[in-house]
Amino acid sequence: MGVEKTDEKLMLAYARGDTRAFDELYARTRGMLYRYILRSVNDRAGADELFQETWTRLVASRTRYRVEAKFTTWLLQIAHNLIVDSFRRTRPQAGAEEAEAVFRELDAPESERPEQLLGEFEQRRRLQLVLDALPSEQREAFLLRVEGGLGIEEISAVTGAGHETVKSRLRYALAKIREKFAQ
Amino acid sequence: MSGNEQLERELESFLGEEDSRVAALYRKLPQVQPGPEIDAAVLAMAHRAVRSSVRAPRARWIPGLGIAAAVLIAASVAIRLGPQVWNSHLQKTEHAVDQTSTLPDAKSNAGSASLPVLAPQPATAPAAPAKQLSRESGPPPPPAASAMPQPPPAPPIIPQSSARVVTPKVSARLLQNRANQAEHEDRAVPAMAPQAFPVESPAPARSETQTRSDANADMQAKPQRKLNKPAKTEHPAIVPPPPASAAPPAPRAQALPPPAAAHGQATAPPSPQLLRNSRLYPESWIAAIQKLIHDGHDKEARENLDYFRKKYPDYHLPADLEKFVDREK
Repeated sequence: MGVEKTDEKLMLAYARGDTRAFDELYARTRGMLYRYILRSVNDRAGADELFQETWTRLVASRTRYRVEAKFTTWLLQIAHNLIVDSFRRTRPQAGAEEAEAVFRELDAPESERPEQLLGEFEQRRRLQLVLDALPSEQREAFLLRVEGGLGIEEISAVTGAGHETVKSRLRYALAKIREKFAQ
Repeated sequence: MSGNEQLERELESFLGEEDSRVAALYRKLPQVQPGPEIDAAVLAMAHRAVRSSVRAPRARWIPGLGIAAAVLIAASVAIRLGPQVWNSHLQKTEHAVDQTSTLPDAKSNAGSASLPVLAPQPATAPAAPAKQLSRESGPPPPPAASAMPQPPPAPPIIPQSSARVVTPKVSARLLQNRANQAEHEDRAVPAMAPQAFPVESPAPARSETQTRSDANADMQAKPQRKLNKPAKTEHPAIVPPPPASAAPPAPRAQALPPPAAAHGQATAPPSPQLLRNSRLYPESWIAAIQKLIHDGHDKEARENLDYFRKKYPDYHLPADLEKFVDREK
């Protein structure tokens, strides 16, 4: 059984012209990247566009790729920059009505909330709503952690925020989610 | 345990590899994927980029193409300028070619198969073409000096048209030889000159050599036109050549009639010394005049000086010569 190539080696191989390496790399990372983008922008069409744009940027700069960090860090950094640009152009991306619903739910006492009576499906839906309601910086940090698997330092590198800032954002994000689901 | 401590612990758990509750809940969210059309578009774009970069080496030809173009330009410039550099060499070659090409015509006109074109020319026949012709036809020609004393053949024998063919290729040396011959000739000879010098009229000759390339004709004609200028004067037989073929950094010499005409002495021949001196560089000529004055040959000095001043009107005479002029006045 052959040793599986790392993402970084696959990227270097693609930079040398190996398209099969790219196919494998894409298959590995496409879902993670797409979910990160989709949950960041909360818009399918916008996510499709940003997803393709991320890969276009990666392909264009493939010859400049150096193994100085994890491949996923580089990939998510590209996506993050595009998302930030997208936010600047199209804010607010979440519908006001939807956001209001999330806040109403967050404000309501747990005992009165109907999701207590609902199953797992409803819990996932609520998590999605909570994530949508998070400030973009906190959501970004959370998604980079849970979706991209990045650590504090890597999230710091991707977002350009300081180590403590990233930690603080994650802490706030968890607090809001916990507030919703802990009990 | 306070809420803060619990949060910190959860954060540690979230950041660590441990399976935190939030992370577990997140993983229960739908694992959405990009659509197949997006996958196809991305993969096609990535493959296309690689293919286009494989074709990119074509750009390596651009520097090579540039170098080739530069070499071509340099070669064309060299070809254009080369004849100028090798002008004198070409002139000699053209002479030989021209004489060979006109030979049959001359033969038919002269009615003699063995008679070279320039052979029947009067005493003004150039020495250099004769030498070149000899190289072509074999037998060595007599030296120009020895030919001079011979009586000139009857001019009508040579039709003007055939004689003209030779004219555009007259070199500086040819004119020099003619001047040398004229120097040795008596002033009675000018009667021959009108027959001899039409040969050198450049206009008709140019029309007969039109088959040559324009560039060559231009380059050949330029120096020749310069040299032939004096021949257009009223006294072509004794036209002195310019002081030197390479123009010295001296005042511009003017095309002048011969010294005798300059003096208004149509019948009095100029002294050989004057003719000789007139071909010197201005500085050398001035030195010769000063020597004449020093030796007491005031008349000759005056004659030389008058002609010098006509030929080089802009030349600033030395003080001693200015004094000499004033004294003579």
